[in-house]
Amino acid sequence: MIRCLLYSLVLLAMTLPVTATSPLRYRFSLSAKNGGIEGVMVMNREDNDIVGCMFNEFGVSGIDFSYNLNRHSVKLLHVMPFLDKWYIRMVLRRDLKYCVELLTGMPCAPGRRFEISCDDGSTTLSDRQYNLTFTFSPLEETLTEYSDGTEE
Amino acid sequence: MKLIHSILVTLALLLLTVADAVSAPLSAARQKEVVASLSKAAAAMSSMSCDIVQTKQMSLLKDKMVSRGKMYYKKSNKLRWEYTSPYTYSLILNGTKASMKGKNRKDVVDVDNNKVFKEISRIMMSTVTGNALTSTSDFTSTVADGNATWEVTLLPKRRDLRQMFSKIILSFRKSDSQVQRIRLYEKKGDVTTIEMKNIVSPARLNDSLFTI
Repeated sequence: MIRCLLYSLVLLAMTLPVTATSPLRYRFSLSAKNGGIEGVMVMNREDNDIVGCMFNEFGVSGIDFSYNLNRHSVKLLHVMPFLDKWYIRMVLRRDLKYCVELLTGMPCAPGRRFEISCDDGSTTLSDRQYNLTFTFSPLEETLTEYSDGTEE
Repeated sequence: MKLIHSILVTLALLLLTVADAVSAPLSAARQKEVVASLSKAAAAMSSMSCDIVQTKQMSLLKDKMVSRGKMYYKKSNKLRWEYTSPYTYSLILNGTKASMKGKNRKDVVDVDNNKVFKEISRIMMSTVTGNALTSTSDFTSTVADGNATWEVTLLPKRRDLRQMFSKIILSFRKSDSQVQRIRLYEKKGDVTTIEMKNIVSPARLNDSLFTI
């Protein structure tokens, strides 16, 4: 009975909240010891994968990935040239796996190397081993008013 | 007979529409003339403000992301590029200083001491002002006639730019030589279109807009 319930829960987590018709959009920041990057992440479910694109505010692509729901692993499909090093790819693959699992409500057991916190709707995953901090805040699609800088 | 006539008329209209949408390439001499006139207009521009609508087409997700904001430019090296929706972010270039302000962080960079940023600011500024057209070290440019616009295709020459972009297309309004649209074609298939709307030039801009 318990096994059946757990199985149903896992299946539910796999289908929600990422559905084929509703991409998830986040503002993300990645802080490292010597700096960091910010941008937007869009994720959507496509068949057995969750596909994600991370790009900067100007729309320039940084990282594209796919998370396979059967294997629970991340494949990096595109990494911008200055991050495209084997050791960076290795860390990104591992950390993005936990980010996707956290953001989509999947069961996630990142271990002691990681610290997870949720605050004001933001989700933060800190990789203590490499001093990396990923923060994701859901993007609101509403227009905000801005002041016009022109002089009257 | 009437049906054939209808089909022929429809086909002719379709062909006309297609022909209208495709930019016609110009002769080398005419291209030089157009580039010279666009560069002249760019050099004469003292200030400008406009709304920006940026649409990123993601090839992987078959989805698009629309961001909106404002852009301000004041001769010769002041630029403020800000997004207001659905996220807030601003990039200010002012002489040798640059600042980037996002949700969680603000970075101020001395452009002269940062080789990468020096390049970014130089290329951004030259794209906005149209000087990229004559920058032979960065791009090879070709001009085509797009009816109401001049369509300038920039092919990156430098390796770092070539790794990211296959081409950049700038659309200049023929009537006043203003940049109306920038299209960035990434190597991996994504396309980002930045449309400049409600352009005011010259614009009376408060210097505080460019404070770092």
